[in-house]
Amino acid sequence: MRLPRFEYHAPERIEQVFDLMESLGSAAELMAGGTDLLPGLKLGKRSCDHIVSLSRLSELKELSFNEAKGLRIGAGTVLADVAAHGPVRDRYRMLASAIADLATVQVRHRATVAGNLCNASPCADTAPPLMAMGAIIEISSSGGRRDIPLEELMVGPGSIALEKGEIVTAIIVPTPRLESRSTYIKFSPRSKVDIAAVNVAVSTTTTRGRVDEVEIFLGTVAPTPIRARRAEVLLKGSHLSESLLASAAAAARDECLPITDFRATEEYKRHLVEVLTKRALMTTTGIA
Amino acid sequence: MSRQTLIGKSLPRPDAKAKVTGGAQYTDDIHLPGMLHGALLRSPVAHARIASIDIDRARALPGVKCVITGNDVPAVRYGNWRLVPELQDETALAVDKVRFIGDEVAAVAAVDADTAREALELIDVEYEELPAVFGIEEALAEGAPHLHDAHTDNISLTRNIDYGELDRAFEEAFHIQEDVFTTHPVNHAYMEPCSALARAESDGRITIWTSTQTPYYIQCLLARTMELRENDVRVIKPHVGGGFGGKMELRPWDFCAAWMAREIGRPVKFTLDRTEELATGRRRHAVKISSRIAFQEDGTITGKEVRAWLNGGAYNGMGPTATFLIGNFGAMLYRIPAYRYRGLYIYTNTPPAGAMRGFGAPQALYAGETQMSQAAAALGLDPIELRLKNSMTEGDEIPGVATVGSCGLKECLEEVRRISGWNEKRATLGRGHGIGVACYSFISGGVFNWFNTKYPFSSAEVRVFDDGTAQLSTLAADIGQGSDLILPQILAEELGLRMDDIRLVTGDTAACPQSDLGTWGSRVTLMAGNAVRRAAKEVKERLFEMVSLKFDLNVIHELECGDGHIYAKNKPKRRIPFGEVVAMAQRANRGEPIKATGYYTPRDCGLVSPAFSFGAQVAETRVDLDTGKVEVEQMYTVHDCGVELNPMAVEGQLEGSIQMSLGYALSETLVMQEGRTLNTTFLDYKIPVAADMPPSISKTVETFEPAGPFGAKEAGEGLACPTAPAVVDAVYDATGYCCNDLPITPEKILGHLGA
Amino acid sequence: MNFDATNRWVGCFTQPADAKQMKHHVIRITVNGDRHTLAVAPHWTLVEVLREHLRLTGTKHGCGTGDCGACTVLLDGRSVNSCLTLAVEVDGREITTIEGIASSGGELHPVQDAFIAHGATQCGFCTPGMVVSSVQLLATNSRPEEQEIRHALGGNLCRCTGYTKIVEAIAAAATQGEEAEG
Ligand SMILES: Cc1cc2nc3c(=O)[nH]c(=O)nc-3n(C[C@H](O)[C@H](O)[C@H](O)COP(=O)(O)OP(=O)(O)OC[C@H]3O[C@@H](n4cnc5c(N)ncnc54)[C@H](O)[C@@H]3O)c2cc1C
Ligand code: FES
Ligand code: FES
Repeated sequence: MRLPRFEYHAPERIEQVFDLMESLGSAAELMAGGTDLLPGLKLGKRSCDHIVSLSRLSELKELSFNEAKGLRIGAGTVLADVAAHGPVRDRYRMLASAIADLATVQVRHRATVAGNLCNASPCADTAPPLMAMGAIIEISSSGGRRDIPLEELMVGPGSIALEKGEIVTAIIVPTPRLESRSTYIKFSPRSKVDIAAVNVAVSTTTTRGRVDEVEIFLGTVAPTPIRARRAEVLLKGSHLSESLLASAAAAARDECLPITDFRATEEYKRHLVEVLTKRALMTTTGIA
Repeated sequence: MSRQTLIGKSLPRPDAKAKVTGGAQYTDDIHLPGMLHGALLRSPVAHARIASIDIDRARALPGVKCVITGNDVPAVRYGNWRLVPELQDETALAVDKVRFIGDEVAAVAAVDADTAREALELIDVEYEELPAVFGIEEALAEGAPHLHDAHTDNISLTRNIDYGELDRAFEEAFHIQEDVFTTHPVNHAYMEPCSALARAESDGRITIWTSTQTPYYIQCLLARTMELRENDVRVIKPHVGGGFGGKMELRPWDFCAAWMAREIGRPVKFTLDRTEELATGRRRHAVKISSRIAFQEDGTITGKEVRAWLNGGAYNGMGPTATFLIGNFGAMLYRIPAYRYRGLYIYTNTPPAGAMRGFGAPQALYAGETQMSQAAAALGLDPIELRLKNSMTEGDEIPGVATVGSCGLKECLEEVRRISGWNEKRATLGRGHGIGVACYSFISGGVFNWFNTKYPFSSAEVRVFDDGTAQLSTLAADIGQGSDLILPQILAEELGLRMDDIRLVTGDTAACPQSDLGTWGSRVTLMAGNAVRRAAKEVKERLFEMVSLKFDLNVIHELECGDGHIYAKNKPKRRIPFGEVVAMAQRANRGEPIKATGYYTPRDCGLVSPAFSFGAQVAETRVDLDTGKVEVEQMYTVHDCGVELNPMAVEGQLEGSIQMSLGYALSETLVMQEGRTLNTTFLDYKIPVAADMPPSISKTVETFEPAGPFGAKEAGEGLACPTAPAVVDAVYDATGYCCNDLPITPEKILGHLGA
Repeated sequence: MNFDATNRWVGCFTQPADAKQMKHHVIRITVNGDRHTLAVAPHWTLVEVLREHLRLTGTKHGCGTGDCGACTVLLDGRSVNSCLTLAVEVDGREITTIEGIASSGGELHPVQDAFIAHGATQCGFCTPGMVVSSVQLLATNSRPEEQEIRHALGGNLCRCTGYTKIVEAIAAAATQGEEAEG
C-alpha cells in the first residue's frame, strides 16, 4: 500500500497553520498522528494535495490539569501520554479506559484525541466518554478562539463544524463531580482488539436512590455519537429500580439509528444498545 | 551409547536466529541492480467482454518501461491439474473476457512502485458487461450465463464415490441424521503478501525468486507459459512468510515479472498489497453440503450419503482437488460400510477458491462432526461414546482408497474425555456454558499424481565430508512449517551427527535434486523425510563397508552412527570418527565424493495417502446470553501424529491451527456482495489476536506409522479441522443452538434464543 | 553540503516520473545508531525508506494500514507503525529497527534469545514486529502478567503460532531480565 503524492508542510508557528489552511482550503488536510488520515489516503477513501502537519507545534503538546479549569489536552498530545497522565488515571478513569482499549500500542503512540474526534467517525472511542464528561473543544484561527461543546463538533461521518482556516487546538474536560460515577463499554462481537460495534458511555450521580444527573452517549449507532436524551429524561429525578434501568435502556434502543456493516447488523446493534446501556447503568448506579 | 538421540527432541529452528534479528530474506527484501517495479491492473467488474484496451497513455508516462495485456503474450492456459488439461482454464492476463472482480487485465513495469501504480490509472479498458453468477444456485440455474466457453454449463468437475449397500442401510436405519450445511469463504491471511522477482539471464534463461510453497510447479508452469524448456527456468524460494495452501500455484505476477524481465532486460519485481490479497486472493471454498447418516439403535453407523456443491470461483487453479477431498473426508474417522458421494465443482464470477489448510477437510469434517454430535443427541447417547463406537482402528480399509496403517483415534477420544473432564461437564455446565467435541483425520501427503510429474514425489541428496559434516539438498519447501528443521533433524539422527553439522541447500530448482512436489497436503515430513532417510541409508552403507573392512566385521548391520562416530553396536568403544570414515571411503574411491540421492514416491497405498493422522478436540465455551458473544474458554486436544519428531514444532502447528480455526468458526469471513469482497483490510477481516486466544492443553497419543520416517505422520493440517465443529457443539451444549451455516455469530445465537 | 564522517548521504533516487512531481525534503535521522541524511518525497512512509533506500529489510510490510504490526519500529524509544509514519515527519529523530535490537557486538536481546528457545517464530514474517513490540513492552513493564502481554500484542498479528509460544517467550524473557537484575 503506497500513499498518493502530496505536498507536505510542517509549520513551526500556529499562525502559519492558519494561513496555510486558509490559502489551501479543501486541497489540504491537517495531520496529527496520521493514523486515520494515512490509511484513508492509501485506501483511496480520501484524497488531498497538501498535508499540513501539526507535529512541530510544541504548544499543542500541552497536557495539564487543575481543579478549577479541569483537564486540558492539547491537540498534539498522543493517546499514550493522555492515558498515562496521573490526573487522567485518577479523575478521568472513563477516558483512560476508553484509550486503553483504543487501537493498538503502536497507534496510541502516534494518535491524538483531537484526531480521533476530528476524524468524526461514529465509532470514535474517545467521543462518548468525553461527551458524557461535558468536554469543550477549543477552536482557533487567525481570527481568534472560540469554544464549542464537543457534542456540536461532529456533524456527520467524517464531517466537523469547523470553518475554513480553523483548527482544533485543545480539548477541555471539566473536573468531574466527585459524586458522579461513570463507565464506558466498548463492544465487539468478534475480537478483543477491534473497532466497536457499539460503544456506550454512562455517567450518573445519585442521592438516596434517586438519579440527580445522568449522561448517556452512544457510539456507532448513528451518523455521529449521540446522546440518549429520552433515556436520560426517564431516569432523571426518578427512583432507581431495575425496571427503571430497563425502560431507560429500551428508550436508548429506540432513539438510536444504526446501520448494518461488517461488524453487526442494524437490528443487532439496536439490541446491543439496550443490553449495554442497561449494563452500564447497573454498574454506575450499583443496582443489580 | 543409545540410538535415537534427536528424534523426539524439541530442537529450535536453525533459521530462528536469522528471523529474530531481521536477517531472514523474503522475496520482497531482495533488490537487484536496475530492478523495476510491477503493478497489476485488475478488473473492476465481475463478468465482461473486453471491448478494447488502450495502453498508450500508460506507456507514455515517464518512468514506465513496459506495459503488457493479454494480447501481448501467448494465451497459454495453465493450472496445477496438468493430468487433466481441460481443467487448465486460466491465462496470466485476461484474454477477451474477465470473469471476476480482480481478474488480472494488464501489467506495468516502471522505475518505481509509485510510477507503476500511477500508470495503471492511465490504462483505458472498455468493458461490455455480461450477466454474472455469484452463488451456487444461481450458477446452476437453468439458463445461467456460462463463464467458460469450453463448458455448456458452470460445472467444471464432478466426483462420485459409491460403495456398500447404501439404500438398504437407510431403509433399515433406526435413526437417519440428515442436515444441510453451508460454509463461508475465508482467506489464508499469511502475513507475507505474495511477491515475485524475475531476472532474464543473458542467455535468455529465467531466474525467478518467488514466495511459493511449490517451486517445482512454478518451474514447470512458468516454462510452459513462457514457451521455454523447463530447465531454462530456475526458481528460487527465499524465506516464505506463510502459505497455508495459498501459494502453490503459478500466479499472474510470476508470469508478468518473468515476461517483462525478458522483454526489457531488467529485473522486475511484483509485491501484492494486502488489499489485493484479501479482495482478489485465493480463499477457502464456500461449500454447501447435504449429508445423511444411517444409524442402528445402538449408534452403529450403517451408511452415509454426502452431496457437496463447491463454489470454485472463476477459475479452477488447484481448487477442484477439494471436490475429491470432501468426498474422502466425508467417510473418514468412522467405519462406514456403505457410502455415496456426489461432489460438484462450480464456476461463479467470484475470486477463485483454492487450497487452504485442510483443503476440503475442514468443510467435510465440520458437517460430519456436527452431525455426529447431533445424532448422539437424537439417539440419547453421549457424543464421545457414539464416536468411540464407530471409530476407525488400525488396519481398517476404506474401500478402494486406503488402508489405515496406524490409528490412535479411540485413544485420543478417551484421553480427551479424561483431561477435559467431559463426563462431569457435558450437559451439566448450566445455561450459557458448554462443552463440545469433534474429531479429525488427515492425509500425510497425496498419492494421486494430478500434477502429472515425471519425477519422484520427493528427493533428497546427501553428501558427506571428511570434516565430519554433511550436506542435505532438497527442494522440499519450508514456508514456516519447519521442514528446514525436521529434515536436517532426520538426517542428523540417521548419520549420528549434530544439527550444526548439517548444511542445508534448499529452495532452488537449479541446486536441488529433481524433484519435490512442494509443501501441501502435509506431505513433507513423510515424503521428503523418507527420501532423506533413503539417501542417508545409502551413504551409510558405503561408509559402513569401510568400517567393516577396518574392524573386520562382516555383517554390515552391526554398525551404527552416533555421537559423530561410526561404531560397532555390540562394542560401542570400537568406533571411528565420522569424518575419518568419509576420508577412508574417498581414498578408496579415487577421491570421489561420497553422496547419494534418495527418492520417495508412494506406491501401493491406495488413492489418497500413505498414512492418516487422527485426533480429538474438546472446546469449552461461555456464551453471553444477552449479547450472544461466544468466549472460548479452554481447548483440549489429543492427537495422533505418529511418532513426534520434534514436539515443539508439532505444538506450534497445533497452536497455529487453533488460531486459524477459531477465526474460521467465529470471526473471519470474506463479506461478498455481487462478487465484490467488501472487507479488504485486517481491520475488517478479523483474524484472532493474542488476547482472543483461549488457553489450550494438548497431548499426543503415540502410534508408530509404518509408512513414515521414524514412525511419523502429519501434524500440520488435520488440526485445522476439529475446532470449528467442536465450538459449534459447545455452543449447542451451552444454548441448544446448532450452527449449520458457519460462521457462528452472536446474531444467529440470539435468533435461536428468540431474543 | 557538508556532512561529518558518520553521516551518510543517500540522496540519489530515480526521479519521480510524472508532472505531479513533488518537492523532496532533506531529513536527518539516526537509525540503529547510524546517522543518515536523506532526500525523501513527502508521501514516502518510513517503512519504504527503511526497506527500499536504507535496505534495512528486516522491518516487514504486511498490510500498510496499521493493522498487522510487521512494520513496527521504535521511534525515540516508542513503538510505532512505520507504514503509518511519513518519512518527512521523523526528521531529527532516532529510530531503532529489528536490526538494531541486538547489541552492536551482536549479542541478542533476551527477547530474541527467548523467541529462539521457545519456538516463537515459524514463518518469521511477523517476528521482527513481534520482537520490537516485546522489547517495547518489557521496557515499560518489566514483569507483565500473561494478560498484559496478550493485550500489548494487540497490534501484532501472527498467522502461524497462535501466539502461544510468543507469549511464553516474552514471559520467559521478563523473568530472565528480573533474575539478571536481582
Ligand atoms: C490499526 C488501527 C486501529 C484503530 N483502532 C481504533 C479504535 O479502536 N477506536 C478508535 O476510535 N479509533 C481507532 N483507530 C483510528 C485512529 O487511530 C484514531 O481515530 C486516532 O485517534 C486518530 O488520531 P490521529 O492523531 O492519528 O488523527 P489523524 O489521522 O492525524 O487525523 C484524523 C482526522 O482529523 C483531522 N484532524 C486532526 N487533528 C486535527 C485538529 N487539531 N484540528 C482539526 N482537524 C484535525 C485530520 O485532518 C483528519 O481528517 C484505529 C486506527 C488504526 C490504524
Ligand atoms: S505493515 Fe504496518 S501495520 Fe501492517
Ligand atoms: S510466525 Fe508466521 S506470521 Fe508469525
